[in-house]
Amino acid sequence: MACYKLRLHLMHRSFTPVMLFAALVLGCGRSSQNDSTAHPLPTSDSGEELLPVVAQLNWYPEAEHGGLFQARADGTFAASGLDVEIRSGGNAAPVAPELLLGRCQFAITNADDVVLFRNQGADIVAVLAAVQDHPRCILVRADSGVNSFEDLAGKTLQCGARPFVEFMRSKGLLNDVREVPYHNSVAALVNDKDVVIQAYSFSEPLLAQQQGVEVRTLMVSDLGWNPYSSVLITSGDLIRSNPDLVERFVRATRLGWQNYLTDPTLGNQQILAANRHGMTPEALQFGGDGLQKLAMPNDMPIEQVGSMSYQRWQTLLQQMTDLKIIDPEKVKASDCFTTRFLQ
Amino acid sequence: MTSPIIMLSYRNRIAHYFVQSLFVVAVAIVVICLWVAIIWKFELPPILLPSPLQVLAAARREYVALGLGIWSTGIAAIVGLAWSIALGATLAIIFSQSRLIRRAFFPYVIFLQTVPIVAIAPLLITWSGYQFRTVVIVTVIICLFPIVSNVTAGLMTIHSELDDLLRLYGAGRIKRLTKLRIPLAVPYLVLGTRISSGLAVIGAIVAEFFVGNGADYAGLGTLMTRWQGMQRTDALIAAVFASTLVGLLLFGTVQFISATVLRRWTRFIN
Repeated sequence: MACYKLRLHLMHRSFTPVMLFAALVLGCGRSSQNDSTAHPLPTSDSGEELLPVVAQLNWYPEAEHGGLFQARADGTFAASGLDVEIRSGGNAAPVAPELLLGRCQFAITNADDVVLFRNQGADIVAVLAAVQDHPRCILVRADSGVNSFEDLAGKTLQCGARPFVEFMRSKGLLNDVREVPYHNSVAALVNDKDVVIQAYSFSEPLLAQQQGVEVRTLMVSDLGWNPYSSVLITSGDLIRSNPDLVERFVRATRLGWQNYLTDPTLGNQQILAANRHGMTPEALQFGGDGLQKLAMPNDMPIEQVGSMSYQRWQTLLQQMTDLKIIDPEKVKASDCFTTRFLQ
Repeated sequence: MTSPIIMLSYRNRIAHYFVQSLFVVAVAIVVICLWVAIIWKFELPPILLPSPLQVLAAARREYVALGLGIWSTGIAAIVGLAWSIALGATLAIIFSQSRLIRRAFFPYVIFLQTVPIVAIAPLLITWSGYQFRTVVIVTVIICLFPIVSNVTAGLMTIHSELDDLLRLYGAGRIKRLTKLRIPLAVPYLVLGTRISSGLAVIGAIVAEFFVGNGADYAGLGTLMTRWQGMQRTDALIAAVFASTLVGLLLFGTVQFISATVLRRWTRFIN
């Protein structure tokens, strides 16, 4: 009897934490096992046949992914011998793990994420930067009394845990600002003039206006925080093992962007069809217009769309080092990107 | 008849605890080996699954943040659990007094159990604001059901001979409740609280995902969101372990109280 009780006792006491632990580890292990075998990387150009390639987005399809959709819609990818599947992203889309596991060959992300990935030892490389000026802004209501970043004191800022927030904090702009999580909706801003939200300048301002609220944007790039956006990334492995594929994909994507920035009609049709999160033609129109300036700032010629410079990457790295969110020993600007496919 | 557990000598109990901890350590070793083997076999980069050593290193680097997080989340979970016990026990006593009340209100208590907390958390923030109170409310919603349900069951358990005995001595309804039913329901309260002690930590962390820094403190949930945003898988996993530690501490405290202070009433379930 005593023995039976003891055994019950043992099971009861020691099971819960161990099971949690085991579930965590086994869960991770199993998913990675499935995927490392399921999708072998395409190896070489197979002549007439189109090579299947997967591109993973970092968000639901929208104007910031226009170049990829355009290149697929107008046949640029097919002309390069590529059959491209574009996978929608979403909240916290794991683009780096997807790339490293070979579930996709290319992905879209922001330049600061490339640095964070590399800081974690992930060999991710930027091969094209479609958007030169980052669309990140703080969206405020016109009647909020906020005209500059200095006026944010006393407001509630809905924002994610992103490097740009750390940058604003380091500038002392968030000292008296209450930071709360952002839940991908302009509702709180519409309801309360003391709420300000993180936003993309070519997206949320329209959504707020459609709800009947006049808004202003404070561009974070004006503060000096300006990582490239809509950055095309791939893995260092793929660059080494199949540079031809990378080159074809990058060239086609660049052409796609040039075409999209000239006439976005075809690309937008595909974005509308692929986005199941309430994308409207008006929002895409607004997004495309806003993107023009950001992709080609200072009268940049359209041939140069997608280009990157060492200086810009180095500045970003220095800023992130100063913010103490990366270890400069682990990341070098020259490893973060390559322009060899843009020549 | 005395319970066999009580008859175990002190020395026996030490031996039992030793054997028990051996099993726990053995399982931990196996799991850690498995963990390392998986990383090695599939050549997983640390952003996908960091090694135990990397997680340990991240925990050491962030020990101040983790310590404060454990403290904040722990306090929120304890306050939420305390409210759940007070509220749950009171509700259960009311339920035990009338079948009509029980039938009318019990479905709504089940509603608390089935409501998807992630879906209503943003609503709760709209109503209650970005503050500690909201975290506690979420915790109470998650913790309440096991306590109400267990204590009600305990209070409704029929002890007809004892009840008859008290009636014989002329005890009224209130006296029989306080002298008989409530003491006999204490083990059920402990069982319910044990289940809820783990849930309390989950509730507090989920609430922190939504409340964030707005609550003027950074709990483990806030840290997890931050480290996820910064792609720091090693620190994220360290925070997951920290949260299980809070759960264990809470569970252990409940266990300790039931084995010491409440021993007279709970010896049959320990």
